[in-house]
Amino acid sequence: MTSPANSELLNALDKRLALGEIDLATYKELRAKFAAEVSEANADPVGHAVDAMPVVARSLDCPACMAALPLDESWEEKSVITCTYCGQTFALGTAEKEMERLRNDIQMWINQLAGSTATSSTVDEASRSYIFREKIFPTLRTACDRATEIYALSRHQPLFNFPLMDLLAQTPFAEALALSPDNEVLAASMRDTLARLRAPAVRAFAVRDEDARALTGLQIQCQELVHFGNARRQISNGTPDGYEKAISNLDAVVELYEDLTGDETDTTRNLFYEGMTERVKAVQEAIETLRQLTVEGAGFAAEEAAATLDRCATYCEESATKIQQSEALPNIAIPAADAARADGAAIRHCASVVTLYDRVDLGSENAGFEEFTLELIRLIQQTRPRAATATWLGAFVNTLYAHLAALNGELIVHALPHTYEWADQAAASGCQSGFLGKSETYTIGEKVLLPVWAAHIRHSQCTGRFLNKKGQSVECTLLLDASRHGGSCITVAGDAFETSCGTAKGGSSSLPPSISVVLPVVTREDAAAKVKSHIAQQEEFHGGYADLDCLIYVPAARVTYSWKKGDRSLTLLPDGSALPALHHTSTNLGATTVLVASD
Amino acid sequence: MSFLKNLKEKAKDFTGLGLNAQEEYARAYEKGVLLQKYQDAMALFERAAAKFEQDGNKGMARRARANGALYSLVNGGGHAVVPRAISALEGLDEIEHIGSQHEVVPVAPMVAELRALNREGLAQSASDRASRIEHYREASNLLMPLGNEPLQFAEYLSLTGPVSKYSSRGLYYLGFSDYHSAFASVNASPEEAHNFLQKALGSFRAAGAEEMAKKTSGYIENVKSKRHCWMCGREMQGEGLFYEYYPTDAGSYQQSLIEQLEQDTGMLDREGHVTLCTVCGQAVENQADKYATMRAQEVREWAEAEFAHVATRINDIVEEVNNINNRIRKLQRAAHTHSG
Repeated sequence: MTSPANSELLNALDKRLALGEIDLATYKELRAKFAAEVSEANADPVGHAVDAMPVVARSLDCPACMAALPLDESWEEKSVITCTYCGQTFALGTAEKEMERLRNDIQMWINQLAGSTATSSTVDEASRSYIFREKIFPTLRTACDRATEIYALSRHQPLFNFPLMDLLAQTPFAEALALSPDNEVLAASMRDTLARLRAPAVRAFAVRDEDARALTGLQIQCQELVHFGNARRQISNGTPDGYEKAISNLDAVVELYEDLTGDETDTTRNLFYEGMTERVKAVQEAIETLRQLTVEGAGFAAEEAAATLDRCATYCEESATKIQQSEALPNIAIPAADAARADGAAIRHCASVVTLYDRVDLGSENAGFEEFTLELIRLIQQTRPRAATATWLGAFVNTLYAHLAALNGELIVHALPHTYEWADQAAASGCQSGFLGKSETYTIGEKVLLPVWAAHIRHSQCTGRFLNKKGQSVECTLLLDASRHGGSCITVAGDAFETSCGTAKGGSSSLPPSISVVLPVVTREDAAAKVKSHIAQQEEFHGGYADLDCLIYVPAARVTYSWKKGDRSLTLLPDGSALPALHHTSTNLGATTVLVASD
Repeated sequence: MSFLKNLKEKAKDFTGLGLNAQEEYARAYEKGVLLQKYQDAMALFERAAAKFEQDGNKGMARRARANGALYSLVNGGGHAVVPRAISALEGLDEIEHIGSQHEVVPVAPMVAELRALNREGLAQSASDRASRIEHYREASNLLMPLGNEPLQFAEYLSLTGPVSKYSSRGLYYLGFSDYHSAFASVNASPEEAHNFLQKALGSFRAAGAEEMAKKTSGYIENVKSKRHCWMCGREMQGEGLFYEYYPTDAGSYQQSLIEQLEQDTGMLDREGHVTLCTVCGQAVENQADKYATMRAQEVREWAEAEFAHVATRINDIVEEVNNINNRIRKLQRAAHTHSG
């Protein structure tokens, strides 16, 4: 039997198995027999090369996303198949017909380009290599470039996301997801090209190693778009099934990358794809950890998961360095390295959330990570600023962790003594009097510990008049309400309170369980910007500057003043200074109740 | 005695006369810096410097001059006074924080920042790209090692772009260096320009300079795109640089033909247009211009001959009209004579 005839037989076998006409055992037996015969037939280099790629020959392309699906035993029992990469379902018969059409088109194309060479079994390698370089590759490269050019911006963009990140105004992942091509559009523009790139008949012309690698490079260019797009869409579902599909997509890309690593003749490309492989594998591991946390919930060791995520973040950062050091074309390497860093940052934020989950008293042994995430999402919806960034999220999660640990007595923070003897006097001194001397009455409401950022201000003050007018340096403490994003700044008046603040900055204390403690939501970076803007706007601080010290919990009391025309409410601090009345809501995070102020 | 001494002290304080170097230096703060009267502060620091020099205290003289230069910057002197501030600060280890009389800060970061700002000014006023590239790169090198502290002189020079961290500003300058490198190289190699623009985009994004990042992205879109020329068939990179879309009539037939021939479908991806490389496109344009000029010349020659003929006819007619007028006038005169 000639080799082409054998190849036809093998193809027919693939089809019959795919259509369920023969069982797997028969298929394997017959295939082994014919394949052995083919390997003995040395006179047919093209046919031989084709048969050397059994994985491709035995795959079916998903009509929706064009991912190559390896044959599955379970297909024998089904007429409808679900794509393991994009999740779309399709009829096996339809896909098979499409595959047949593509195969015929490719054969016709090869015949047009190569003439008799395509059908001849004895044509030498040099001719095939010439045809590849002069005809096949340039056509494929142009087609690939045109099909992928408008999506090039999303090519190596971030791949990792977790549900909390969706609450932020803008993230690199969200941008990448928005730029990722729609499968239907992508399939329309590159289905034929991708089929040609994968076709064994085309591969047979890539005789030299460098030609084969160039072909794989084009395949990567197209398939990265397919698989990375699928992975982003699947991970953004936030479901275990989505995570699983995202991992499958990344697996497919890693397989392609591995074809291009290990080539010692091209160290630049080698290092680039090594870096990319490390990055994708690190993201895969992080997604798998997230999947296990979601599926196994309370049964999964969160501490270990957080450590794994931290390690994955480090791998991403290291891969970014490798990608950048590869000296591959900057127009490819720089965005890829930036995206690897963005993945690392997102994974690290996820690790912080898992650490928080590990430490929070969930109140029930069955409470899993998914429930915790939902509670945390509700809390963040209440506490996020209007244009929340990933930096804010990371800082907030760390602050929340410290706040909860301080509430549980596991961590000490800067806090003033939680006494409220001053409240009566401070409230009384704030009463306003009417025209006939009648004064407001007041009632002291809820007493809380309020988080404030303390800043040390240095500015100047004018003394004397006329010729004796002089400036002198003055220092004071400024407090910024850290419980609300629109929180006010107040200059600390009263020496005793300023001294107390100074003592609190130097010392530390735990938060008492008996007192309501409001959660800080303003991060250090935001606080520094607000304080700077405050002193720039205030005439008294003109020419001054500030150093932001630390977060202090200070006692505060809500006071309602009553007068016949109505009531007014304020929140007073120990020195009598007043902030707008604090309204807060209680939100549960596990077994702990968190007080969140509203603007 | 004590009363007289007190009076003398008061008089010195009011008038500023008879102050020693140290008192003059303190007065520069009390009557200048701390009252935000920076013009007065500059003059007082200069006087203090002169007195310190007379006393042989060169260190304090230099410090007073450096403060004078710093406050001329604070007073709105702009980029023009930066070189003076740099040379005044060089050689000092520390100096008072701007706006403060007693808090001292190291001078090295200030000098590095001022040098970088000076480079920025030079880059902005440079007429050639090579100098701009060099100045921005050097400015970046000066700021990058300074870390994440905020810039100290940003508000006095009304800088645009990121100023919250030295490192961000350094990246911003690096972005500009690559941005200008791209424009310097684009005519020789659009691919290299693409690489530079991509580097610039990364730096602008990392620096948080969104506007420049957006602008650079737009240029990348143009410079990276490749199309084959419909006429010569060569692949060219860079829309608007090495290929252009020219208006033409091309429909579905041409599109399907291109697809069948496995050629670049991008040549016809804009309705009613086709891509030509700038060489072919300009050859066509130049030839068209040449024909147009030739045709215009022919029309002009024909028109001039026509105009000359018409002008002769007009002259003849004008002469005839004048003759008729003369005859009419003669007839009118004759008629008046007979009637009289």
